[in-house]
Amino acid sequence: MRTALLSLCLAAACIGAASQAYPSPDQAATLAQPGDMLIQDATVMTATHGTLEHTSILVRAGKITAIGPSLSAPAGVAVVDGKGKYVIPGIIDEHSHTAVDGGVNEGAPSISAMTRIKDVINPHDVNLYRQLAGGVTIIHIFHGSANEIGGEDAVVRLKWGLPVDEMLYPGAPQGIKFALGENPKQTANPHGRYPATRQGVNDAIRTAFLQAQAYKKQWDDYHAAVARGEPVYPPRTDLNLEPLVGILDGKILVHSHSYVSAEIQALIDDSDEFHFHIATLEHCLEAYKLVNEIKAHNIGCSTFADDWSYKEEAVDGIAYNAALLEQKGVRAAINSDDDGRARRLYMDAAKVIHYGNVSEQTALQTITLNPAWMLGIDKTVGSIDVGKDADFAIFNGDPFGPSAMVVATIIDGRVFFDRSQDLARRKKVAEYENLFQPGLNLSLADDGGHGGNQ
Amino acid sequence: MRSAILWRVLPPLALAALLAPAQCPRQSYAFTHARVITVSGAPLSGATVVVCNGMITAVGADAAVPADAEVVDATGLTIYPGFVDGFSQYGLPPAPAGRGAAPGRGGSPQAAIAAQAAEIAGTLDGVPVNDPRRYIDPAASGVDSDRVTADLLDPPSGLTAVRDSGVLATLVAPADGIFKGEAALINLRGPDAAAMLIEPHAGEVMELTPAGRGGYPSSVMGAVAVYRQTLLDAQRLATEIKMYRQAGQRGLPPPDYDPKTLPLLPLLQHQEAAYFVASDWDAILRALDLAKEFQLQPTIVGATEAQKAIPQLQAAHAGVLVSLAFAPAGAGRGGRGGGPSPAIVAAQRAEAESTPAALAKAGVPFGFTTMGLTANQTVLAQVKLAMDKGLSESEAWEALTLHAARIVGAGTQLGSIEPGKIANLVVATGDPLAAGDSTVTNKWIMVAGDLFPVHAAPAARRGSPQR
Repeated sequence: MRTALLSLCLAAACIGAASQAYPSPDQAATLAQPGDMLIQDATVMTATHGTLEHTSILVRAGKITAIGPSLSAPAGVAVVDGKGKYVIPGIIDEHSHTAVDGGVNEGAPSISAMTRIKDVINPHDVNLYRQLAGGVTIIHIFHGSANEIGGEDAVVRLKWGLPVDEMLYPGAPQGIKFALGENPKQTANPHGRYPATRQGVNDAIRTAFLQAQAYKKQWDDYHAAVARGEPVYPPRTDLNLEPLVGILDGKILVHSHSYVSAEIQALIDDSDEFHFHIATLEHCLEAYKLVNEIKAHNIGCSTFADDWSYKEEAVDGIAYNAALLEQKGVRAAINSDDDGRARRLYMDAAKVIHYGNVSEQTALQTITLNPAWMLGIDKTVGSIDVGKDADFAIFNGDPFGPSAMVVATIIDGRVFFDRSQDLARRKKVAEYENLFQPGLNLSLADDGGHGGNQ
Repeated sequence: MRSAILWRVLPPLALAALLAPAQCPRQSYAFTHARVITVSGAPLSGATVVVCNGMITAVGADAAVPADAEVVDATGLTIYPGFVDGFSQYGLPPAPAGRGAAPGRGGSPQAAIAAQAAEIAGTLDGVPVNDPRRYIDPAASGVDSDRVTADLLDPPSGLTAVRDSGVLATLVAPADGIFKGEAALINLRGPDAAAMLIEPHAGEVMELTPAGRGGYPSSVMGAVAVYRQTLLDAQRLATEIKMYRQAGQRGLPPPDYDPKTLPLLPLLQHQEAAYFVASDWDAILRALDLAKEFQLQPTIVGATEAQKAIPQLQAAHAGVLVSLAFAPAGAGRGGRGGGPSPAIVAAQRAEAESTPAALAKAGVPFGFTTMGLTANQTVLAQVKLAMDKGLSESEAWEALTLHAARIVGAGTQLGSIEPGKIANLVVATGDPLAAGDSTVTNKWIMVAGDLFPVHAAPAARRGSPQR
């Protein structure tokens, strides 16, 4: 009996690994190198210069080297048949909490700027793979919204199967999470911390910046004393204040969770007072009320497609927010804020067309080029242009159509998700799970394409 | 003290014998006609093991039996080295509950009242209550680097059961906290802490986990920040001390000898080992990264999923102490809500059991630890699970004894039966790891020269062995 179970378990370890679609070390070594490919005869939605029919894209060493109607593959370059398929830039989820180990909030202090998402990314989280199945290639992983100033963020390529260092987007500017309104306010009492009011939230941010200014002066004084040749001990390196000094020095991007117009205005006032730049307002459901101020401060808005009134601060949230911002020249992104919703961001982008009647290209930009701009990486990703990273989502048809489905997801010219392989693996998973739970009876058949959820 | 008593009670002739170089200050023993699993070399048969002053002095078929030795006839019996447990809390009193909870943050009612009073007064611990950074409170942060395990040892009677299982020495430190304090290497002996200690400064044990005491940190990323800030503070103290000495103790105020950071200087200066408790794949990788950030030489404790991190462990030259619990990583994998399916749990358990064999195959040095062992798991039964997954008998012996001893810095003192080592011996009816033999029982346990019959009442443990 025991021997039988053991041999089963040995097989289990093998199939278990296969079921998670996790690349073998050999596969990972290949995936780590940028790839070559020719995508032939596809409909290409560039996000910058319209939609091109019957177009090919040549990729060399992970970069787009040519886009045109009749390209041929150089020797040794694999050809992907794009006939009937739509190719869009890899989707960028500007607001994610996926793959964070051991708590997405450091909720105990109000200012938790000393935490770093990079320290706690779980590169093996299956949600990363599931999001690849939704055409996502880059996610912006944030600390939670329990703190006025949360931790430092990470810009992550979904190179499922590779170490975290390979996933971090090279050269992406460091950002940090701020949060305004009810989330930090309502988290205060369980933790017994200050502040517990909306006006206190702004006071906490101002106090932290005053402390950061004093801290910066300590170091400036120290360097001046050293320059004068005086023997002095260095000040204490305070990891909680270092990022705030980085913000004051213009080296760290501020991305602030926000809902109502009053709190957005208060933060803009803070940025004027302390001379820092706000890169992005996150969620910003009432941004449409402050569009002139936001535009004047060159701030991006990363919002939801259509949720309304799901919390006190969302009663004035409207589905026209992104379209209204775009009309006034403010860059808008549609984000997920959710492991599951991240897999269908193309549907959420389609809603911007549905409600706001924006062009397909503008809608596409809300999940590609605009988030790239907010993250400071739009020179290298976010559109299908020569010289940019070969990050693509390939769809079975129009990505904004009701039956849109991702057939392959490509990062740096390497295939990180392939739907046909996934379907084959699902059968193995079902067989294996049924061994352990005879009553479960998972279907061994193709499920007809309801997402990469197994 | 002891010699004063000896002067009074011993007859002159015996005293003269005691002072002769060949004599033992303590009772010497000779185990004769034994099969000996030395671990450091080939097994011996018909061999004698001589113990004097708590140390092994001779091993071999031709080893001379000292005249005053108590002879234990081990005909038909097998002697093997006592197991070295890579990490445990044996010999420590149970941790007090609710330790260090910070005021106003889920602490005691009294603490909450004190916090309220402070709110009214406008300050708490001298800091304005509306300071948003006030809540980064080191008292609650799990930095127990000022804790010295050797000072906490309080051997309970329960050690008998542990000894009877064959575990005779262990690295020990409290289980809680991010910086758990200075570890001690001990023999599971009595009657007091002094008799147990092999090495009171055995390294710092760390774990990148929330302290679980309420307050900061409440997350793994917060724990990492605490780790990083604490070691930065220690680096700064080292700088201050250096500057102070270079200045000839003139012109500068004395350094800020913070009691939490001062004990960490040997760790930063590589005079002390760095242990990181980490079981999951990601936790292991994180620990290796964070050790590297401060140039620490890490040993991973727990290491359930270590076989997935073999390239990184090799690159870091890390030692590994594998938990014999082989606990599946469990909930937390496969997304939010619901745990992993039974199939995944079974696969994880099988994988955990195959970790020792995988490490052995890759040449990663590892020992075992009883960390996480449940009441119905025994050391030997768990080791056999690993052997079912391909761990060889000799690799299992090494992991239980000599390799574990080396990893905890006691390779010259523990882990094998050879002259010069501490006499930690198990006398059993056979080879407990031999294939198919599940009837082996332990007859005698020797810890640092003290002989204990197995399953005897503590009062009778000094009784004469069979002759």
